[in-house]
Amino acid sequence: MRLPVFAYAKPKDFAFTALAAVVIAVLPLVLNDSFFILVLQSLAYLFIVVLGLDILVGWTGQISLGHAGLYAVGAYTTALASTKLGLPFWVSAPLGVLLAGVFGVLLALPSLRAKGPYLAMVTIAFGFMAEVTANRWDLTGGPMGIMSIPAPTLPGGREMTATEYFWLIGAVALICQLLAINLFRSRIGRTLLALQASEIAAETVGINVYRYKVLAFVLSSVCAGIGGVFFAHQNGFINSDSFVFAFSVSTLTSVLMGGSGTLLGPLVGSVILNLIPTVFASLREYQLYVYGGIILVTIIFLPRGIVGSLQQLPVLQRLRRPPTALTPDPAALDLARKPERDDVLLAARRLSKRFGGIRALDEVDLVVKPGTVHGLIGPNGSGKSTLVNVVTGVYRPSAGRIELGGAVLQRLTPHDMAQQGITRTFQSIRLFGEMTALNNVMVGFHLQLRAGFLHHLLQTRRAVDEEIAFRRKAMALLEFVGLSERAYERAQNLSYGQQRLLEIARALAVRPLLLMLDEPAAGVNPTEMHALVRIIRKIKDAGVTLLVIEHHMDLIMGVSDVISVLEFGQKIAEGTAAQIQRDPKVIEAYLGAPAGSAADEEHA
Amino acid sequence: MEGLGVKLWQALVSGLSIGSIYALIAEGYYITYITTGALNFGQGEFLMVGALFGLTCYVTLGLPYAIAILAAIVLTSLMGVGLERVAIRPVMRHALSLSWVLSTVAVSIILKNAAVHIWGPEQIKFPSPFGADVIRIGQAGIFPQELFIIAAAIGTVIAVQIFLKRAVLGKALMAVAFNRNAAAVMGIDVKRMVVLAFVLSSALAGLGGVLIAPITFAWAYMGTVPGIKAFAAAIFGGLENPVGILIGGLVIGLLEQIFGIINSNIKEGVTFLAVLLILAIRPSGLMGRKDITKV
Amino acid sequence: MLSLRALSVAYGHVEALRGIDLEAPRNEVTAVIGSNGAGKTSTLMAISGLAPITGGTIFFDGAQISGRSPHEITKLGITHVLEGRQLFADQSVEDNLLLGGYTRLRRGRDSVKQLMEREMDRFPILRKRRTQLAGTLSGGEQQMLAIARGLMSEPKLILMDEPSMGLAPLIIQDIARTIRSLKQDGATIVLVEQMASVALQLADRAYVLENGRVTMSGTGAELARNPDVQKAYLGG
Repeated sequence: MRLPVFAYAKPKDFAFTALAAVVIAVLPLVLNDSFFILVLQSLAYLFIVVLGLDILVGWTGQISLGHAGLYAVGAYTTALASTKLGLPFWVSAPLGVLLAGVFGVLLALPSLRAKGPYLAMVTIAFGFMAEVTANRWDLTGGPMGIMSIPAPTLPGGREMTATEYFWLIGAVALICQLLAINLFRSRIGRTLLALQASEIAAETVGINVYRYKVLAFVLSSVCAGIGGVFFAHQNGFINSDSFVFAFSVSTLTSVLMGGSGTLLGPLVGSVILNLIPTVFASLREYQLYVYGGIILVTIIFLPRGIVGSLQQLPVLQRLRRPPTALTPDPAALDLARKPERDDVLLAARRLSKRFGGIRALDEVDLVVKPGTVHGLIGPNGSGKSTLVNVVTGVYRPSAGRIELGGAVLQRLTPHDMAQQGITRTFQSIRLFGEMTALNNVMVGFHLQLRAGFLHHLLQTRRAVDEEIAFRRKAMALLEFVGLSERAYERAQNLSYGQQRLLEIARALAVRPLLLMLDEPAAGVNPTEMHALVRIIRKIKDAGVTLLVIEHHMDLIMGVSDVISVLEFGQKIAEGTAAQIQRDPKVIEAYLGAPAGSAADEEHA
Repeated sequence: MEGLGVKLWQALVSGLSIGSIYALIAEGYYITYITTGALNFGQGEFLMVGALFGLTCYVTLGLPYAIAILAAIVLTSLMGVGLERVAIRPVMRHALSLSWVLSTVAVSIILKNAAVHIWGPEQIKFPSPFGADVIRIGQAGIFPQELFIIAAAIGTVIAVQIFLKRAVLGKALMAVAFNRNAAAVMGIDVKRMVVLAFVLSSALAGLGGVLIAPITFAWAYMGTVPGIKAFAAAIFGGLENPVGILIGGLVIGLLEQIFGIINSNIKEGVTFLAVLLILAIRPSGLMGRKDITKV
Repeated sequence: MLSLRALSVAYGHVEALRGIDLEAPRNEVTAVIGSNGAGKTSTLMAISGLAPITGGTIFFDGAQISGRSPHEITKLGITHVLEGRQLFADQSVEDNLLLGGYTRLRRGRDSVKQLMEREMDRFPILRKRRTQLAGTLSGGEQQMLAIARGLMSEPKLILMDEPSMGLAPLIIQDIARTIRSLKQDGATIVLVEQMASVALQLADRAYVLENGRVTMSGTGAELARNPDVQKAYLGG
């Protein structure tokens, strides 16, 4: 039986969901004490905030020390809407969540380019601005805050009891958790994890990293907003004291304590951290020692958090069911898009790139013909990698232009390049290390996947069917490079040579017009080398044009139809392998000795 | 109109003195950030300990102010060694890049609690060694302590720079910051240099505490806000640029005080607004370096 | 002088060296050639304590040094001229040399000054550039400074990683001449090079690394004549 939504759900999932629902329903009845019910309410909405922060921190690799601000937006919006405008809870609450989402976008914008401590500062600043605004603005009641926020009402006008209110919060929390699981297992979660692992690699398969970061901020903010709304109506009174830096810190601590980027981490983290004050209430003036000590011990000894560390236990690793076998779909091996012209695919015209005073590329002209393997060689530091970086959009050219199929390319970001059919592998391997080989290839399909956000959020049949179809295609690509046996291995556990092949498979998933391989043979052993040569030929036969940078003369001479030679950022020669090997300029540049010296004698 | 002129004058001096304290703490962020990529989010609490310990030495024990300053620096330096050992070294190996944020925050929480235990939760007056009388310049009244803060803090910031640029140990520290491996093969003990960085950073915060306490109060909760604002100043100027940081500190201090004349509400928010604005234009701060992605 | 026995290095799950044996006799140049990613740099980094050793041992001057930290190894008399020079670009030429002599500072600033003079005699261009920031030097000058900085610690063993990287042929000849004269003065050198022709000309002994293993070894001349080596590394 497959539902139209949650279409992936198996009996086990239904059972767990039912169990959680029963627990939520029964808990307030068993612990029937007004204090405990309050604690349960707080736990449930704080959990939602923590879950949201995990989307940002654990999935996307960003940081926020300003979630108190978003929490405040939700709380103040619903509080003002219900007290000043007299709107009912069911209107004011969604309004609060919505506005928190809008503020999420506002917070995302300055955060996009900021990294590390700079990003931390952006979020801290946002949090403090929110606190100061709440504390100082007339509308938010200043330090006095807003009082008499009504409890939510049931249809018919009766106010909810504390137990009913807990049921409401618990139900929303459960739904949030289920939707988060959906997202985490879908393309959305995969994409966020990928950009956390390597933004550049994610870009080169066509992912618009900025857009996805904004999405993560919005999702996270919406969750914080939900938490804030529930808080306001629970307390009946809010002022700026509840929206302080310490709140942001404790939320982040919950994420890390539970295990960032794990499915159940936020639940475990928020339960433990929020029970500490209750459990250690008797310690009073020693409470903060305990709190600080617990943070410190967790960070030092459980760097992956409680759930993350448990997952590492060999016992639990063994319990994991082996995934069901996938039949590879050979349709994936229709590798190439059809180039529009058959005389020229890529053309670099007087392309230059300067770093400070250094001319890494100096007016290079290069034409790659469709259907060929184009070799690019030159001594270390001659500009080969810079050329690849410019043509794939990683660097902006200082001058000159790039044409694809005769048309000058205007948009030059890496994800635009991928969209236009240019993708690459990396000299220093950039896989999504914690993800399986299969999922690495799945990320490569980014531009071909059609099901949108809502489909993934709800796991509609369409999203699930598409996912299964592409998993079979991914399997076919893994088979193509000889890695199908290792489909479920984490990429970082593969050998160097296998990692290089996996990068090729991921790049092929983009269906490129032009695939650039940056030193594909570096660190590859002789057996793998033969496989590599075979695969390069197969890719060419399938109609994909290749540009290959390599130091292995064997390989480059063996596979290339045309070879260009760079030295000091300039093209010094071009021709077939035989022509290049005879070219005196190449011998001088590449072999590092002037013609006629000892190096030449050694050849003879 | 004359009232405004006087206020501006006072704001200028107060802004520079608060700002130079921000700069002092922020230079500490700079030193550890360039050497380890981490910084102490509890710098503010180190400042607080410096102030309260200085208070004990100066008021309770009746030692000279200079000795109190020295004592505060020594104590916070030792705390820097401990901090590096407890909250930095164990977490720098972790894959998670932000572990140090929370580990140093955890230490700061513990320190705050300890301070309440030792010194109580109340605000304590720290009498200025230069007396409570203001110096009259025209209509404006300026506390001599403020002038002393400016001289001492900016002097220290400059002295630290001279140490880093001229002394062999400083050069070795900068070498570690620039390229750890290359420094290690020169025979420089990298681990020790990291400890040194945290010692310097902590000492600067401790000094900041004894300097600022006479114009504020000394108490357990005095550090959090200056710690964060100093971080804002460092980010404003560019975390990798000591000159930028000095400018950042002074600019933030001045902005606060000058906007404080207009409206005390704006005063509280202007720091963060300024930092958000600068980051919107320059993601690595005013004078930070643009990073070139290496592929 | 230096011997590696069954040395393995791994970064996480990626193995860079899979049990290599290598001898570097006193007063000789030992070359290590191979393609990118073969493990050449990892070999040198393991010797100087920068790479994580997962198996095997390193003996230097009769004592085991594997597992020691880099600064201790430097004090024992090994210097490492790193790949890509890795100068302290924002410090002056003089300061780079001074830091090179860091382990000699105990003997006083004067003895370091003398060493500095010695290096500036070896590379007169460095004397002309002494107050300039290292980052502003040309590629060849930077390489000279990197070598001079390495020699400041008066090493018994010099590890050199790709001194030819990114340099013009004429400059490479200069560097080769420097290495040759160091050898004549009795230095012990382990030279890693991608330009096999240059390395084999200079080497007494040479090793070919492939995929973290030693696949061939012999005298420099032997390897230079070897058809497999020619095909793979000499572009023949």
